[in-house]
Amino acid sequence: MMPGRQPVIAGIGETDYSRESGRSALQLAAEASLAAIRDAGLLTAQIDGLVTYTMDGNDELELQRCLGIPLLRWSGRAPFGGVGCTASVQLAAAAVAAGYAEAVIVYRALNGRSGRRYGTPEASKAVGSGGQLHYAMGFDTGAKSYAAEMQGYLRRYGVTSADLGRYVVATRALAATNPRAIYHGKPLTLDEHQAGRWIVEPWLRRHDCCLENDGGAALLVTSLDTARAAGKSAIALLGAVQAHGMGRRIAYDVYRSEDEIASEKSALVADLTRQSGLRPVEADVALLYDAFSPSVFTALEDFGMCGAGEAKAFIAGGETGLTGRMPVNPNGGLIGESYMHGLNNIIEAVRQLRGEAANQVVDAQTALVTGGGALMLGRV
Amino acid sequence: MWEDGSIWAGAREGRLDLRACAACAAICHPPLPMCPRCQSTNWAQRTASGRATLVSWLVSVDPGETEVEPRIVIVVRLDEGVNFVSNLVGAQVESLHEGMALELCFAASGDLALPLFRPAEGGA
Repeated sequence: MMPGRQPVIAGIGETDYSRESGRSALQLAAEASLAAIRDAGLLTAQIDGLVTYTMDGNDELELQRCLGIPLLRWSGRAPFGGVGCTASVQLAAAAVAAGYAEAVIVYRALNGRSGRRYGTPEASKAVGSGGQLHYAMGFDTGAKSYAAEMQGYLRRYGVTSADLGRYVVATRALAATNPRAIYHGKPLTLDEHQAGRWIVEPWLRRHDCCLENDGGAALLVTSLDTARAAGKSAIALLGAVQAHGMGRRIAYDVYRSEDEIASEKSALVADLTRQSGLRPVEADVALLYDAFSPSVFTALEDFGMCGAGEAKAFIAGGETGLTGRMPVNPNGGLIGESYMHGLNNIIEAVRQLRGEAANQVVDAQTALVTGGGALMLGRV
Repeated sequence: MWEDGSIWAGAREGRLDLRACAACAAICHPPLPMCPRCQSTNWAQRTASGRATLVSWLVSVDPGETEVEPRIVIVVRLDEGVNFVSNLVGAQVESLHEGMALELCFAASGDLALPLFRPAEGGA
């Protein structure tokens, strides 16, 4: 890293989250990006990098024009959907650290409800994530893919739909007190969870699945020097990792051994610990990628918050609550707040570390974020 | 882009033809253009025995076509050592268990013949 190039998150921006934005995804991307730039105290003319996910539908150069960025020096896209949320921050940080760009916006915007609904076969086909064989067999949505990938874990440890429901009830209680959340003011009971229809029988009910909604989210990654010159507080990027084993598929990941998946997760944790000097369990708050409720259970175990098979007891015991051993997704996550493909969870981590969150974890100094890869964030 | 032509061609003739490396014989499924084991681009085919065990299952409903009869989507482990996505016929979802013995069968679907699985004769 060049001297003075420590990458930090200096700004965050979001649109409102809704089921009917009434405007284009590009407008949502531009509004969120502008909010992040203003939050950082920078001018749009200082932005010279744009990063998003491969499946985002908003062209970098169109967004550049909207924002009035005179010269774009860096662009990049991280693989696919939710995996891209932490990886996109890694791409932005690498550009800042190397001196390829000074201030990089990471954005994700979609009309996931009023436009093409995200959970449909058509949406999966549009991103080419399956293949004719999958579609011919009716294996054609993210929820079905995930149900196939995850059920070995659920069977092995006897995790029931009610166990999953206890997590969903907890996260919906947090969303209910977060004014930004789609489910603000709308907590869920376990009975309501259990009465929800099957999305993928017999594994995932309606409320186990994340939201489909409209909105835009953005982060601004720059150097510590630039953030300080703008006079705003910055959040340090202590670690940023990707880990993809050879057999991995971003969706429909049903072709490889559990051993490979385990070694991939070990590499992720080892790299994050080496970079940040912190074990994941030392984080004060965790934003765990929760496109579907079981992924919170496996993440708790993969990142060492509890032992194998212990997540259901950990959650049932309230340990993921605001005052638990590891507060998880205080914003309500992707299930309760918004599905911005994980970027809103990173924004929540920044809010927690600034002490500005709706559901604040007392004196949060460090935050773990997962989403395909992982980040460790901390106060500067 | 999936290089799965051999599977569809074989299915029309009642076979499950997997892509196998002509140099090192490793089966590659889902098919790729280059062998992940030896990087050869020369391919042959291996006809699967049709014996498999159940890895995972789910009831598939098309969210846009809920009137269509649900089907059971399965991931099976073929005897040849690779996983394969298919549908299960001749069984109810309540009766399924991990490791259940299955056998290959075929069904027409429009212009395609689909390689499907059913509970194995005499096996459970």
